[in-house]
Amino acid sequence: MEKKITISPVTRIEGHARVTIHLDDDGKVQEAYLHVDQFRGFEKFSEGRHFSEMPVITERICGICPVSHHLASAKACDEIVGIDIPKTAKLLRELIHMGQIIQSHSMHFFELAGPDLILGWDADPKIRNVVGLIQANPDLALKAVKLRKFGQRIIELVAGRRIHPTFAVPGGVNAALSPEVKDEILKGIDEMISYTQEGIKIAEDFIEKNKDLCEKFASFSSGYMGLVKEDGSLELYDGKIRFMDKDGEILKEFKGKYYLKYIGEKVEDWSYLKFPFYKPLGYPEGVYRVGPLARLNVADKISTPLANEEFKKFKALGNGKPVEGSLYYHYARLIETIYALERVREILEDPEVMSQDVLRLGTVQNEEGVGVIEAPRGTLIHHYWVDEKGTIEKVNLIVSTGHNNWAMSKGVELVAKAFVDGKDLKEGMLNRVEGAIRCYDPCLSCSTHAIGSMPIVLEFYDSEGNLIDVVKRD
Amino acid sequence: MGKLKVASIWCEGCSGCHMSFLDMDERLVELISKGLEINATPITDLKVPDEGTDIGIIEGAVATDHHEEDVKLMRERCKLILALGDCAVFGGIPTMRNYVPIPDLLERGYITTESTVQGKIPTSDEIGKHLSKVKAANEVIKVDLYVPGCPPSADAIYYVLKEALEGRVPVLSGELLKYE
Amino acid sequence: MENIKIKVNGNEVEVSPGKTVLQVLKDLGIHVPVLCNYEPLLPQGSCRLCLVEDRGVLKTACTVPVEPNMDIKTDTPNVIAARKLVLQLLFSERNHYCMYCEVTGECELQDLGYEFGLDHFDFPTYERKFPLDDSHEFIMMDHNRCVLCRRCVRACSEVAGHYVLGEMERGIDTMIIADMDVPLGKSTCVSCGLCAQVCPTGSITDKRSAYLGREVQSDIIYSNCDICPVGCGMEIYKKKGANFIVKIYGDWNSEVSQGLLCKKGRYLSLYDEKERVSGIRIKDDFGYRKGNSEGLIKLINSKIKDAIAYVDGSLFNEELALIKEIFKDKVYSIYPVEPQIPSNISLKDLDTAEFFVVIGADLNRDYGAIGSMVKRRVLGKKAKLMVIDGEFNSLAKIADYVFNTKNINAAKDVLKNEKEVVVIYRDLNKEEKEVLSSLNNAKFLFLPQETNTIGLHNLGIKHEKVSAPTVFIFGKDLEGIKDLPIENSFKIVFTPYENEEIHKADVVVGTTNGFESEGSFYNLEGKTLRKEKVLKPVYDAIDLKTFLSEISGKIEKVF
Repeated sequence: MEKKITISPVTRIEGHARVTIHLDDDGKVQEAYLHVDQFRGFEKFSEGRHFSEMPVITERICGICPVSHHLASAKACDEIVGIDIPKTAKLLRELIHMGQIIQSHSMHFFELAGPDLILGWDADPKIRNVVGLIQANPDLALKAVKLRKFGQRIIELVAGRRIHPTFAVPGGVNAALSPEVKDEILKGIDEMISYTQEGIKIAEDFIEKNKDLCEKFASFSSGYMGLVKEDGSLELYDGKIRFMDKDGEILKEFKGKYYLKYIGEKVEDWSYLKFPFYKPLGYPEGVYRVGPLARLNVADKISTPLANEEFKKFKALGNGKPVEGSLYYHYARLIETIYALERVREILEDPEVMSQDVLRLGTVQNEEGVGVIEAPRGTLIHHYWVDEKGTIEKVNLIVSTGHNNWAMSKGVELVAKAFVDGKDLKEGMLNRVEGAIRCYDPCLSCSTHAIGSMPIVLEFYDSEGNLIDVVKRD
Repeated sequence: MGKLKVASIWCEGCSGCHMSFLDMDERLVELISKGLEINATPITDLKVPDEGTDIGIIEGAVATDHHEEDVKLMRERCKLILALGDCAVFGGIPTMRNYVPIPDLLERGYITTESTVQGKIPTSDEIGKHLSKVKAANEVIKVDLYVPGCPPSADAIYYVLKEALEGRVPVLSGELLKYE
Repeated sequence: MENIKIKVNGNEVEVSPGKTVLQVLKDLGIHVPVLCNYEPLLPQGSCRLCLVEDRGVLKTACTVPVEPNMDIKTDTPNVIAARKLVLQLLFSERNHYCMYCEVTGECELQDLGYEFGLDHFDFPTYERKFPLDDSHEFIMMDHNRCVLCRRCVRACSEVAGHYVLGEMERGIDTMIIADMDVPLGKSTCVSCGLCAQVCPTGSITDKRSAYLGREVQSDIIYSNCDICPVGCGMEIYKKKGANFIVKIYGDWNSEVSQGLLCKKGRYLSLYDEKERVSGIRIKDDFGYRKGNSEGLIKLINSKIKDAIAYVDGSLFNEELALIKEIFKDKVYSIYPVEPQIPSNISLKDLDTAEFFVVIGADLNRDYGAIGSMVKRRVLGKKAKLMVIDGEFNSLAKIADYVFNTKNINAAKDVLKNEKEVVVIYRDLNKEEKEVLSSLNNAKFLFLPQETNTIGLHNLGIKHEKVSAPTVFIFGKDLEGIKDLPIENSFKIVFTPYENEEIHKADVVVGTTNGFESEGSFYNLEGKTLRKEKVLKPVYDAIDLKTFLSEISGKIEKVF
């Protein structure tokens, strides 16, 4: 007799998802699926628009990481006009990208994932959220708010507004940096680093107290992909893509625009989110993960000092092999936040960041352009084909969370098998299943270039479709 | 200045309006201390708003049958409905798919995209059915308050919630009324 | 005529006849919302936003002339409800997406929405697809954002004279079209860009300046264009704090052009047409080596004795004056600058002319603003046109008479019967000059070759083929250099662009160009106009005026 549990929607993630868990007769988990609901169609409805509109249209794919789309799109547009943008423009784009990383990572750690780690998996759902955090630990909550605000302020001050800015254009950016803005940002960095380090302490304590859990929770082998600098250190804005296999061997390095040779996307019937895989290894052997855990796995080091210290501790967890446990994503996220904060300082101390030469005017030179960037959640690829006037003919987008689709599903399956007892269903079990998804900080709006919704009700059906039990969060 | 219970859902939106809500920064803490009670939202773990919720906030346009059900439930459970952001207020960017037949959209997404391998169109029952037209919230239910913007500024959201907390009907104008 | 007495919002006022109600209300300082109305275009009355009530009847203030006994009310509930309904209909008729539109924040439709507190749609919207015409090189036409105000149609005809844009169909199917409904990029559009300037929404936009910034984020610099000798008035929007130009608008208040611009001034002026010369290069046995300004000044000092200078019409008056100071009377023009028949009219006179003769110049291609001035009269059926040319001339399509230059006498037979003809010419051969000079009903407008050719003439710099051991060459196009007897001279060239001719030079110095430099020049009417500096050069280029001032101080006066 087949039984099925549905978690719908998954909360404290961005976007829409449902989880179905199929049980055997003994109430043990047989299979689990992550269904991503909804699909918007950006790849189709952008056809016919002028390519210079794409940075402002595609950023509306996501409200948490619009800057990532804005910049990946602008990079694809730069290739279409065939311009190597002025160094000042590169620095300013990377600056708001770091603001994005700081804002998104800190929000995820403290406000989305944090409640599980700080208040506990089984805490009352009524308080297991950011508001509960504010009430339980107002001091920490305020720091979390300030850290997110700092990242958002960078974007606001440099690009004009926090969400959906108009800043990067083909050929550069549309505004220069003022000395007042530079000073305001520089002033806040040290304090923000200290808040992030507090977060790292929480993560490290959690790992210390829950060693077994961290090693086993949604822990599995996979490949890893991320951008690295020429010297192999962590890179979030430019660089080249590096592919690593489950044992830590570097399989390939290539410039983003050749992604079609190496990345394919499989479609499954039961989800609007496709399954990317590394083509040379086929599907499903070629599945891989992206995002903070993967980026730190593929990198050899981090170019900024404080982050590099933390990086070494992280690497030690793997003992020479890639770190596999999904919960370590939360730790990796904070290490990247430290890097982003230090990188902001590096950028602002570069004298060229103050130059007024921020734009090179161009005309359509190439009929194709690819822009690749490391969004907070992973590698983001924008690919446009245009005609000689610059009208968009085709668009292909592979969005960060998409690369992690297989991994999230796998995580859900493993955690469901480990924790869900169909005969004695408790809400906390299901929260852990969702927790597996949350490790990946998925941005499902992005990944389906669509939008989703999120309520969750748990319904327990027998194979004849009779409703047996309901667990709700009210 | 009594308690004000609010709940929210996001439909076919990008979550930018909820992020703008969080962009109130410390002012969110201030509102909570003044009586703002946040009930079911996508960023809390409660799924369904309580009966008698004061304000139900809808972000995102209505694009699937699931969304239609969700907004109707919000209308039942909440005394007032607030449409937050251009998608819920006007329809927004999701309506750009209204001019393309759904089969064409799906074909591009799942078959002809250059990176897709052995493509096919997903058909499982577990995923939502798309409406032929993406609609604004007020084409499905009665909406009481509108806060346009893409996203609306944190200032506008703060103003609206503060007015509501203090028992007044908010009226947006000047710098707070924006369609971008 | 005596004044008319009317009532406005309950108050008695006296107004002069011949005005529209809108003009009267404006004079009284009463705000009336408008959308299709745009001075100096003729009123249209299509948007219905300017509705006012007169004795119980709603009327469009922009088209209705004042008449005695009017009782105008501008803000009754009836009026306001009508305007709000109009606005709702305008927003829902087409597909307006403010969030990613490039004019968001400075859109007149959006501003009206804010003014009326429009915060949701009353009618179902986003159901019908309208086309996006992206075929043109510079201009994007998105019909989803069109409010059918017809400003573009009126501007393209009444002001720019091209008569490319029109309308087709009726009611909700009405569409703005180019020619006989062809893509704009395939039409007879000459890219003057006036439609994009007057469009109130983001329907017609300048692709190049998309998302570069808003007017409030820019400094506005008033200048005159220096691409051709007309010198149209420009409003240059330069982004505050950054080194780039957001967009260029025609200046409606310009004495010279009253708002006109052409493809060259509005768009091409922002690009370098050829490769730029960067820095200073000095020929040696291995090719060229890089030089610096100190070395250059030393070299100049050693060569200045017996040196001569050639100049062209791209130089400003200040630069020419300094060159004359240094080289005294040994300054020559590269090409002849004397008009064969001196001009005796100004551009304003073209607006009342009834017969134009255009000889040897394709006004659509060069001197675009003059082309507009001629075309708006001719296509507006207020003047006739005769084109005389030896090769293809795009104006021939709209001319009443077309003659080959060999048939100048046949042309004269037509012309001598006209009341008055305006002859616009670039270059006349001997026969043409004789025939045209003999007309006693002709006025003349000479089209100089370059921006400041008249300046060369006014400063007494003549064209002569002179040789010397050392030759300095200052100029941009350098057309005519190869005909000069300077094969064996030591050549020092100051120019912004790479040019085949300068490959034989001994020293080449890169100078500033376009918006990087400033100065005054004489336009073809003989007016002194000023070109302003807006940008800092991104290439290693010297400012000629500064450099010449330096060396005129440093050079020993040997003469």
